[in-house]
Amino acid sequence: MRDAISWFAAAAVAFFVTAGAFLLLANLGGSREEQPLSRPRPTESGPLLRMELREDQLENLEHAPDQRLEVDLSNTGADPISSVNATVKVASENTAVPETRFYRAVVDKLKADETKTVGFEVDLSSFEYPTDASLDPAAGPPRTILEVRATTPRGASAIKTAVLPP
Amino acid sequence: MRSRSRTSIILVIACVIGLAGCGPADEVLIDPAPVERDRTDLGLGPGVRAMTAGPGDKGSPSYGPDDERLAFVMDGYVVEKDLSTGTLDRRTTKDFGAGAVDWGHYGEKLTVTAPEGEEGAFALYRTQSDGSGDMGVTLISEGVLAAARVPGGSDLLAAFAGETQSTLARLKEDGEVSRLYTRKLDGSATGVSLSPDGHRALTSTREDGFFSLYVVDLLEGSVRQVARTEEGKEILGAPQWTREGLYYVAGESEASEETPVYELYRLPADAGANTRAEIVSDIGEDFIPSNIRVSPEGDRLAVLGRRSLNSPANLYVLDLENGDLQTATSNENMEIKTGPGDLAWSTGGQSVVLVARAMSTEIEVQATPADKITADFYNVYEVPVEDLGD
Repeated sequence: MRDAISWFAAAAVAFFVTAGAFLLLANLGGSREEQPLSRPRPTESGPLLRMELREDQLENLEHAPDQRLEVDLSNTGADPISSVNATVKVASENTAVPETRFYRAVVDKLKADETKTVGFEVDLSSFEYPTDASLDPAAGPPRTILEVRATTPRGASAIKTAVLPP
Repeated sequence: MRSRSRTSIILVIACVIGLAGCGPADEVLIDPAPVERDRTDLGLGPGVRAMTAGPGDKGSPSYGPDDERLAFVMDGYVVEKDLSTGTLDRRTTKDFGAGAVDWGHYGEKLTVTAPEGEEGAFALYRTQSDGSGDMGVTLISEGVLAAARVPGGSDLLAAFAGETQSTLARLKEDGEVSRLYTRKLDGSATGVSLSPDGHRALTSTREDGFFSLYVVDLLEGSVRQVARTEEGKEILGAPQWTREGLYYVAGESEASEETPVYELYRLPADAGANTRAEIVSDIGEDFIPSNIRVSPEGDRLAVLGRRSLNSPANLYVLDLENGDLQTATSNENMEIKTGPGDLAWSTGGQSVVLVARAMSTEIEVQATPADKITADFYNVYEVPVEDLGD
């Protein structure tokens, strides 16, 4: 009986000593370059690029080609922006319409606290619908969506969307 | 004795060594998961959740049997959304011209309707809905005026158009007629609803400006007329067969009055030709219902309507057993669709989905991509309807 207890105790000691050694090694190895698992935080304190799409000009737009659309781009950061890539997407509210119109402009060099206006000639004429069945009379004629995006090479971005009445 | 104490010491030491390293190491902070943003008030009251976003005229929302998927029609094509992943799959081509969609019994197939040339008639299609991206659809029937799924199976009960009458038929999943009901119904069918046991059907028809309700015994094939409106009155949408009787919305049609006023009516399930329908007073004297839908258990009625002529439309839930009417939404500036298929229950009866958009006519510039905007477009909203009024 005494032998059995001694064997059991010895086996337990051997097990825990081995486990402890592995735990010790694991702690030593893991403490060198441990990083917190929190999400990476943005490096910039706020937006550097601001965009304005004036509502008063939108009210004067017509459903016709060659409509002038102006967008104000401002650098609200302390550093200059080398360039801004601005795109305008004109789409129907009706998602069955396959056509989407894209327009692009590039603004070079935007100094700190500087605002530049970029203009687009956009086609706001009516879209063609694949079938009459895609149109619900109760919903009224589909509206036109204007979506303007601006991005800088360093990743700052701004977006504005407006829904124009039919 | 000495040996026992020695053993105890060895065990204590072993435990101390074994527990080494199990204490708190350097703390690692894990940021909490972001709170779901669409749980805020979206214009229909707290707790209402947007199920869809972005442009597109959505309608006919329908939960899958497991409540994990939602199908709906958008601009004439069918879309299925996986509610756990948010993935959208188009189930038909964009030029399909779908009018409504419903799930099959096992959630594998969708029934899609597409309007035909004849007024009010539509074709029935079945489409696979297994997420495989297969947009193949099969035409299963044509010339259908109204259809409903038979409870507990994948069969459909469809009302077919005749010259002046409508014929009911039970269709198998592939469209094969398994039973044709030879007793015809006068007029063109406008809606059909089945009793919870699937043995009887309640069908509304329109004929020469009059609307009628018929109960069809699907086992015996017998037909009895249970209601007929006065001239100039119409029945809105499909009548509903509930545990507490037959419910329908009827009132002056637009042709006879500029602002139509409707009432919710009730008939007992065993009503005959001489039974007079009673106006359901539980919803209030001035209440104007525009759409109703019975819950899966048949004990509640989702009612879309206005408390009075000048109040906004809201969703209410009427407990049919005790007559309690609970308000489910608090709408101020949303236009809620009132089409017969635009109101649906979840299969468990915990929520109701509806379709709505903001009524604003002014141009507003938003700092959001179009596909994230909800209020400006017709989108599907889930309204929790359990524990209302608590």
